[in-house]
Amino acid sequence: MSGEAVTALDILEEAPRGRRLSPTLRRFLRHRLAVLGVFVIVFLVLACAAGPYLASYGHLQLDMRHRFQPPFAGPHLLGSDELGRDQLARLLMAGRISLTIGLAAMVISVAVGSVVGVVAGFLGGAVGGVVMRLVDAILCFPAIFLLLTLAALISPNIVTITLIIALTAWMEVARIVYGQIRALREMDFVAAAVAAGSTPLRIMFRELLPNVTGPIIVAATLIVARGILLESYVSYLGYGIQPPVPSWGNMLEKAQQYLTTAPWLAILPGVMITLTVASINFVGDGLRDALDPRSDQR
Amino acid sequence: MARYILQRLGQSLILLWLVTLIGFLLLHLTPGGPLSQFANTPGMSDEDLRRLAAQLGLDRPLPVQYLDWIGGLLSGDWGRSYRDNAPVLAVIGSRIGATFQLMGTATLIAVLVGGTAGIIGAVRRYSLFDQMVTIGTMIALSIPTFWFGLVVIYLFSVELGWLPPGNIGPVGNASLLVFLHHLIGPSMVLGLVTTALWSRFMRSSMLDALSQDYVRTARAKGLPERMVIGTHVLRNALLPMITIAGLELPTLLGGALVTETVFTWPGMGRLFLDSIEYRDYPVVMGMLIFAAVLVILGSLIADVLHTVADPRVRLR
Repeated sequence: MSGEAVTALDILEEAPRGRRLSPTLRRFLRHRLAVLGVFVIVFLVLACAAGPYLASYGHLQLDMRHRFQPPFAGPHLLGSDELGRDQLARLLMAGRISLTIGLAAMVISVAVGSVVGVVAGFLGGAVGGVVMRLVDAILCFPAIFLLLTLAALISPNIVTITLIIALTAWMEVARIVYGQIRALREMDFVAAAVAAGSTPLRIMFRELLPNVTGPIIVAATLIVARGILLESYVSYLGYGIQPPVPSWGNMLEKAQQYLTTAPWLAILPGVMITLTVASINFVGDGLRDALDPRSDQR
Repeated sequence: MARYILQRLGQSLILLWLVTLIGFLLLHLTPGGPLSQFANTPGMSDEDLRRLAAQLGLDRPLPVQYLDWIGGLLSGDWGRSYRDNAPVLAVIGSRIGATFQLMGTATLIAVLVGGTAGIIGAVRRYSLFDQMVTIGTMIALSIPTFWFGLVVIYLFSVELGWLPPGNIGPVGNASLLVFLHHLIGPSMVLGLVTTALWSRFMRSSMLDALSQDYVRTARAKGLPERMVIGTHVLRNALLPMITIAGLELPTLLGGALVTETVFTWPGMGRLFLDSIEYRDYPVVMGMLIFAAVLVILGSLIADVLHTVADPRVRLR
């Protein structure tokens, strides 16, 4: 991807000597879209974190005189909904919820998936085999089917929705970690660690796991994107975050019935989801190349 | 090869058994269990609940219930719907056609559009077209399916008036043309993600085939590039796509669920959501198992076909 335009890489490479970029960072900066993705995500996170304090309307504040106001046509910058609530304030507040759920679900599923993958990979044999068959079996259920069944069985709130999204996402991490650990445990440094009298726990989490950080980081990024998407699906279908708490998904739940009269209510939350998820996916793509030393030779 | 197929069959059976176990535990170990919808009904005493549980056999030990249920699964008795007392298998069967029509059309779009884009992208690697397709693929995978459905309805039904906003057609009007007209919107929406996936996998499969030695040989002996790509590369690149088609089944099924909801398409996805709303657990359970069985079958068939079509796989 070498164009004539000046890339972030060109500017950074002119930095004084002695402050050379690490090869990983250099490979990441080569991905212009990944860098753009980072900027978009940072901007969105800051906006969602600070925005609700700066907005001129609260996200639950009703304004009956300005119901269904189109964007840029009145006091509400991005328009208002059927109760006159400010769309911008709601989008930012919903962003907090959606981003938090995506991140929290990622942390939980990465933790669970890594532990399961490392233990199954290290023990191997029958135990590892059984655990990984279970992982395969859970992966046979389409994620949305599983998610909706669980969401209907529990009382939905931010914590439980996060938990069930994590519950449908940890298997892929487990699979990746398992595969890598199986290959790694045959290597000499593991034998050396055993000879030195390290406990299995130490070998698993101090010797083996750090070697899999790269693939885990990439998978983690993609899980954040998927978590935000899944949250929007369940909330749109009415089993996720419950109003009046806004999330990008449940803002779209009512939008379908106002599609003819107030299309902006349907467009904007979807744009936010797509923008966020696409940015995270581009970053994940960039990280995949950056963390893989072989990508330099290509 | 027979040995490989038998082995693969054995794996699938184990997987099937695990799937039933997980599904069963999922429903029975969650707080409330299958009777949770009655617990909050006014006028329902604990005594009534107990009687109902006994009537449905829910008071027996879990292993007994599981064996009873799995025996039913095997003999084709998947239980009866709480809603209208119809056999679960018949309820699912009545909806499966609409879903398959949708999934089939979406896959056709994906193979034609996505496949072609992937092939051109790989042949002209790093060209403007290739970069655009790669970026477009990534964005397509980031769009929530239901929202894309809303956008399609807004653009083509509300604004332009070209497409019906949903459903399979007016009651009583079963003409093929009307049906196809209603099929365009939802299959476009369901096809978006599958097209993106197909173009991505097709591209990498083509690149894989392009780097093989026989391609260099074919070029060295002076074959025109058209023949090299058309006969040597393409045919070999298409083989792994059989497996991809099997692997994409869960995504396709999940996407169908959402698409059917937006377009009120009377398929399995719609049925699943309705059953969840009515807390119709026998149907929910049946659909979960049914979806998983489809996925397992899909990947089994894909693997076997791949083995039959590609002699190199058999040697591994």
